Amino acid sequence: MVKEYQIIAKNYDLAGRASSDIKRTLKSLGIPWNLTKRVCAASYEAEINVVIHSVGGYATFEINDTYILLDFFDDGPGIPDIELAMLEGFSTASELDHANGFGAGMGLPNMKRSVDEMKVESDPFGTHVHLVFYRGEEHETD
Amino acid sequence: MRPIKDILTNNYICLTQDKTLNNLYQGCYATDLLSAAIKSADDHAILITLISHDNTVGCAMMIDLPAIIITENRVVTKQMIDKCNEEGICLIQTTFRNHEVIIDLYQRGLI
Repeated sequence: MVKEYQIIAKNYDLAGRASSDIKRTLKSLGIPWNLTKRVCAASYEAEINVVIHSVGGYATFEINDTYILLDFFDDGPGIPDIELAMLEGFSTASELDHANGFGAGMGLPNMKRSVDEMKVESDPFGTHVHLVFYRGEEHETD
Repeated sequence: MRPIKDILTNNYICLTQDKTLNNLYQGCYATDLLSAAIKSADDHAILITLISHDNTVGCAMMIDLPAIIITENRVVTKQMIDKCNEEGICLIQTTFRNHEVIIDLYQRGLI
């Protein structure tokens, strides 16, 4: 199953819409809560990052018997220093973002903590965040 | 685990449908950073925050929290209430500040 979602920049009212749908999909497929929670946490952070930091983008969600894939693409302006951005507490968010409860510099670190594999590619024309979750852990107890 | 309705006193107003008061909770997590809640809130914890925004509901929904307590009497929109009702999350408003909620719940033996 593959799904695609548009993500609109600076639109806090619609922020989280993609992740909500992903959660509903995982629940309807009977995916265990441990894995669902990890996917949702990472998805929500990645989606909010696109809303806060980019000029807009989209996400794709794919699930098969082996893994769950999430890809977030945006059209820039990119992350100048990915290593720095991966540090908890580093943020370039605005006051508005802070007022909405975001921009604490925890997005990418939270994603990294939740995923099995993560890849971030970025240049001034856009950022691609690739997140992989293996379904093997479904045998763990919830 | 306890039902959310145990928390209610004159200091707390439940804004969502009565049935959400039957949600069960265990402990709480107070923060004004939603990413911190995503990182650290335990399962079944109540989220205590002054961030009154759709994103607060979105965050609680993502990690399946049973209730949100909005502190310092922050304005809560109808959209937030509707979203909470839709997702079965109990939304409570209080004049207390974050730490005062924790002290209150602790002193009453609820956390």
